[in-house]
Parts: sequence; structure tokens; C-alpha cells
Amino acid sequence: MSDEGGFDLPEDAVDYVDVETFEQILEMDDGDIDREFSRGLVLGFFEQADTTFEEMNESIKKKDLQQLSSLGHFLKGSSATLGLFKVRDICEKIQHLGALKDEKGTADIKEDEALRQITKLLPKMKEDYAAAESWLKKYFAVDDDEGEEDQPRSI
Amino acid sequence: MEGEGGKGGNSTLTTGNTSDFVKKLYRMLSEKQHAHVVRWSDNGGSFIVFDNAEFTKNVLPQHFKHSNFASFVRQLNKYDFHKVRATDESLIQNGDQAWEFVHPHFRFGDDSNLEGIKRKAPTQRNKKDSEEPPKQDETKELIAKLQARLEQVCAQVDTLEDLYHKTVSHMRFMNGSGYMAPQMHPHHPEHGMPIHLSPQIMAHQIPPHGPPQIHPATPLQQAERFMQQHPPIPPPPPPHHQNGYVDMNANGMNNAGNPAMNLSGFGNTAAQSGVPLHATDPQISTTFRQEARRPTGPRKKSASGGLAPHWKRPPKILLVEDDPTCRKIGLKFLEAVGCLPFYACDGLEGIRKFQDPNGPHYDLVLMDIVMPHLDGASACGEIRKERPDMKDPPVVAMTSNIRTTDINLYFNSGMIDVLPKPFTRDGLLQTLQKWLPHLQTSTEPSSKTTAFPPPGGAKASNFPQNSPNSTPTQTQQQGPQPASASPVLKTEYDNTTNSHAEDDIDDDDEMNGRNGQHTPDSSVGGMVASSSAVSGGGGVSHPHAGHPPQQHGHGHHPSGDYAFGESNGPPGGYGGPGGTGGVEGEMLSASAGIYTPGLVGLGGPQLGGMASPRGGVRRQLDAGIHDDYDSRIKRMRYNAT
Repeated sequence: MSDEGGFDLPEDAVDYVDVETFEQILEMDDGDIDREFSRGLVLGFFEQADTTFEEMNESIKKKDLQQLSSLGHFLKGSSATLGLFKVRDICEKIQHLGALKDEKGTADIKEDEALRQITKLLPKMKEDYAAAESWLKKYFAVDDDEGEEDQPRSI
Repeated sequence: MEGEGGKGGNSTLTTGNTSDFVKKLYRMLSEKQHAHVVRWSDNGGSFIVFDNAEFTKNVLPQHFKHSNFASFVRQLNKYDFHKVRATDESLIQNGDQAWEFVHPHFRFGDDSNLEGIKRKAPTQRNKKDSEEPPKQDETKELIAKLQARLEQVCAQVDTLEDLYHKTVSHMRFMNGSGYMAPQMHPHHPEHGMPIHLSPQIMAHQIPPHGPPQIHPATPLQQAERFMQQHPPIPPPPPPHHQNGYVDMNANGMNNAGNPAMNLSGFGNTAAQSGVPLHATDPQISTTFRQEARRPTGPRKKSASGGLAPHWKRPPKILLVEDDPTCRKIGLKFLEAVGCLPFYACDGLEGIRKFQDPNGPHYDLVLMDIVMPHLDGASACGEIRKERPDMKDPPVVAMTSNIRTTDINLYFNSGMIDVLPKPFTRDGLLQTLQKWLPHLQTSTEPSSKTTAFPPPGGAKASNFPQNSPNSTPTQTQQQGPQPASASPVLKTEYDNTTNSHAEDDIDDDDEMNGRNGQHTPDSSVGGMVASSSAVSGGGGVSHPHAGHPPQQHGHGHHPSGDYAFGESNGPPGGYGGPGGTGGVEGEMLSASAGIYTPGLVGLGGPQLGGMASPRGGVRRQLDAGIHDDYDSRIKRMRYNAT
């Protein structure tokens, strides 16, 4: 497959991204060696994810399940778009749990239970995200301070 | 060579306004250890890379954390550095491998001007990016003229279209079909059992008196609740005004009575993504899984490596999406398939942009559902208040929520189709082709790959017996199309109304990244319309899964703020004179529950003659299910059995 795609994805790509989805995005670079598009997309996602995680933490503190559900939905969309299936799946669970459903979205659950389960899921999601993030950063040769380059800073 | 290089280095380099790239560059040159590879020129007015390979291998990684010379050069270009043309003298002095770069503010020992080195403005940047010849003045003039002309033409078109739509609605009322804008009211509990819920209930095998709000888990249902609290649409008109929807509901019920009701419209769309929709249990979230379609069919690449279709002009698409990542990729995909994308970041902004009298006349709206401020279904309802014709323009829901209730919600708010998220480029393209047949060129050399059969083909007669109104349908695509749109398209990004998120990103773009990347949105901002390339491209028009991989070089780069697409045929306006019946027929079929798209695309050539909306409808109603299309296509069925 990678022959056809010509993206030379590392073999471990499948552990982190849905290859087809991801390659489809890479395709949009249209041969640009800098990968301006996909790289920017991914960097943008990192910021989005960071923000969302913070908001999720806040919402946990406030026990705002509805907000958690909504944040889950939000991040589900973008992670799915990039093919980050692990993050996406957990986001979906959070979306359901926040809406007082079990993680499959089937049965009703109580608030306490929802909150408990989300609290349990969050670290897992961050872990999965961190793994995907570092894989992506490696793939795009992003170093850690890159995301902040647009802020003036001393060097 | 310049021994004091380090001295100038650090005084203002710490100030905030100099871009990182320039700082790095300056620091790099301040280091003597690389002097044999890269250094200031003798007069200090430029710098020279003597050994490209060595520089790429050793210096770039150290200072720019990459080892890509081309990228470095590109970045230099973006900051308006210029390569100094080699002269005989310099060749002797520096060798023929040397690259010398100059920027008026970038001088040895003088870092006071570094702040003046900025990324170029978008126009220039994009032009440089695509290495356009610098004929800017002429071009600008031309652009100005064309723009003026375009505006005239657009105004004219809008007037004509308004007139047309008014006429159409008059005719509708006169001929008794009395179609009204879709109403959200069925969702109001106080109206009693919402009739539209019946399919869902059936699918559920829940007694008809079951509460409609049984699974509020999805955001969609939250949206629904939102709308119940804030009805976006005034109270319903008398029942006889709703024939279209009553028909639909009746149909829905009929279908629902049949245990194997087929949600054809969405099924097909979903199917085009190859996603199995087991909507049997609506409580199971039907988030689309990309993996689901992975194992089958040729690789994606071969499909999307194909050419964008021939559009008579690039369709103007409004993408309403709050998620920046989805928005960027959505815009990019739209661009890649030859459209002119515009965007809004939530439902309210979507409405605003849609209704902006100075805005473009959008050919189609892609609407996310769950959004802050105003959800997509409500936004669509609002749009339909003024533009009751479901195809004017088609509003397609983009969502991962495709439960029965959700789908009903979309329809009832005037949406015509669903594009499951996350969508693929091909899925998007198919949806566009399905709903914008009037913008496709019909005479394509390689029509075997075209999803749409010749307009008005045989299937028109197959249209289901929904209503007598449906018979004229066939004229819709055949009718002479008024040459109403300008062949010239203004392709600038829609900056007239604010799209905050993007703007932010654009600002960031100023200093974004050492690799010369700029953000996707800003690249879209350069706007698209690879139209000329696309429409002038080869004959292959539809990237079918079955095609051999076909990488095409043209097109996707925003090559400037403006691009012009020559129409290669009379531009299709909205429905020709013969369009009325067609529109109505389409609506009725849409209201039949479920719009059936023609199995546009995926099925590939073998689908041939049935790939039209009406053909699809007919098949759906007659046969209930499709079994004969591409194996990639999974159906969405309601297996209430």
C-alpha cells in the first residue's frame, strides 16, 4: 500500500492513524515536500486537542457532563478527520457518557457513574493522544517548540 | 569569513518582532564554524551557501531542525529574499555550486533592520509560491476589470434567480402542490406525536405511542432539544400547505410498515463512504468508521488521484463547520475537486453569509450539525424560510449522527442529503456531483467514468409514482440552461465577513513554522479555483475507485489570490425553464423519505445508466434494496426484522 501511496509511512503508522484517512490528507499536499497543508492541519489539531483537554479537565471539576459530552463530540470530529482512531473512539465514549449513556451510547447511566467513567477515560485518552502526537511530530519533523513559534519569545 | 559575524548577533535578536526564521538565519550566519559552508558575502549585503549538500546535511538541522534545502529556499522566498544571479565573477569567486541570497534589510553586522523582514503579503506570497511570472500590474488591472464585470454578472444572475424562484413558488401554489418550507414543528412535543418519527419508531419496534425522545445521547438530539426550546421557525401553516412533507411522512410510514425499510437516500450516501449503517438499533451510535471501508476496493489513492470533474464553473460551496480541523480539510477537499469553497464557523455565521446580499450565490451548502451558537439543522431551517426549494441550494448535512431521528431532523429542516463524517474526498465529490449536475459538463470524452449519465436519461421515466408532479422531472436536467453565470470567476476568499477562527490562524501564519508552511486555511484563503486547470484538464472527470492511480499535477495550489476559470460550456444556472417540475419532483422524492441519490460514483462504470437521483429513487422504492453495485458499498438498512 505504501508503495502505491508513495507516502512512505513508517510501518508503525497503523498503530496511530487510520492509514487511509491519513494518506488522504497527505495527498492534499499534492506533492509539496514541505507538507504545508497536512503539517499545518496536524499542528492546528495539536492546539485544538490541548485546548480541549484543558476544557475537559475544567468540566470534570465542574461536573459539567453536558459540556464533556460536547467536548467529546468536538474532538471526535477532528481526530476522526485525521484518522487518530484511538482518540476518536475514546472521545465518542466521552460523548456518550457525558450524555448519561453508557460508553456505547445504549443504556442510561447515572451522573456519578458517567463522571467516574469519564474521569477514568481521560488519562487513557491523553496517553493515546500523546502517543499519536509524538508519532505525528516525528513524521512531520516537528520539534516541540514549533507550535509556539508565532509567539514572540527570546531565543 | 567575516570574523566578527557573531557580534551583531544577539542584541536585537531577542526582541519579539523579528520573525524566528530571520533570527535563526542571522544566528546561523553568526557562527563561524560553518563559514566554509555558508557565510556572509564579502560586502555583507548577502549571504552565500557554498556547499549545498554540506549545508543541508549539517547546518540546516542544527539551526532549522530540518534538512531540506528546498524548504529553506522556499522559506527565504517567503521572506522576500532573492537569489542573486550568478555572474562570471561570482562563479569564479564562489564556485558554481554557490547559492547567494539577498534581502535589503538583511546585512552583516546590522541586525537593526531585521524586524523589517516579514513574510510577504498573501498575494505576493502565493504568487511566489507558484512561481508566477511577476506581471503584477497588468494582472491587477485585469483582475480589477474582471472583478467588476463579475460583480455585474453576479448581480444579474441573482436577480434572475430570484425571479426564477419566485416564479417557481408561484407555480407551485397555483398547481396545488402547495409546497411549503420545511418546518421544524414536528419536533415540538406540543404538536403531539410527531409524524416524522414513525419510521424511527417502527425501526425500533417501539409502540407508536412511545416517547419520541428516547435516546438523547447524541449531540443531534441535543440540537433537537435546542430547537424545541428555540423554535427557529414560526408556527406551522395549515396542514394542507405541507403536502410535500405530509407525503414524505406518509411515505415514511409506509416504508416503516415494511420491516425492511430502506433509508435509501442516506444509505447511498453512507454507502458511498462504504460505511455499513446498522441503523437497526438507533441507539447504537453510527459514527462512521473509516476502517470499515478499508479492506475493499482499490486504494484510495487511485480514486482520489484522479482528476476533479469538469465543472462548467467551479461550484461555490459554503462549508459551515465549527471544528477548525474538519473545516480545513473540508475546504481543502473542496478545493481539490475544483470548487470554490467558502466557510462559516457556526450556524449563525452560516446564515449570515448565506444571506449576505453581497456574498456569493452558493451552489451548495455543506452544513455541520452540532455547532455552537446555532446548530446546522436550525441554520438550514432558517435558510429555507427564504429559500423553500430544497435544491436552492441543496444543503447537505455533514455529520456522524445518522440515526433515524437525526435524519428526520435533517430532512425536516430542509436538508437534502447527508455526507457522513469524517468524509472522504471521493464521498464529497460524489455528493457534489449528485447535487450539482447542472454544473457539470455533460459532454465529456471519458463519460464512462462520469457518474452522471446523460441528463434526463431513461431513468426519468422510472420515477416513482409519488405524485403526478413528479413526471416533469426529466426535463430538469435537460432543459436549456440559461447562460446566466459569468464564465469568469472571482476566486478570492470570502473575507468580507469575519470568520474569526481563520483570521486568527492567518495572523499566526505570519511566522508559522520554519519549514515554510503556512496554515491550511490561509492556503485556502489564496483560494482555490484550480478551476482553469480543472476544467481545462484532461477528459477524465471522475475519480473512480476503479481507475488506475493517476496523479495529476495540476490544480490544487492556490496560485494566487485570483484565479480564473474559463467556463467551457454555457454555465448552468439554476434550473432552466424546464426546471420547475424537476425541482418539484426532486423534492417529492426527497420527501419520500429519503432522497435517493443516484449511486453516484462509487459504483463505477457498471452503474452506467442508473446513476441519477431519480433512477435511484425508483430502484429504492421498487426493489427496496440494491444488490448490484460495487461491493464497497454497504447499505444502510432498517432491519426491523
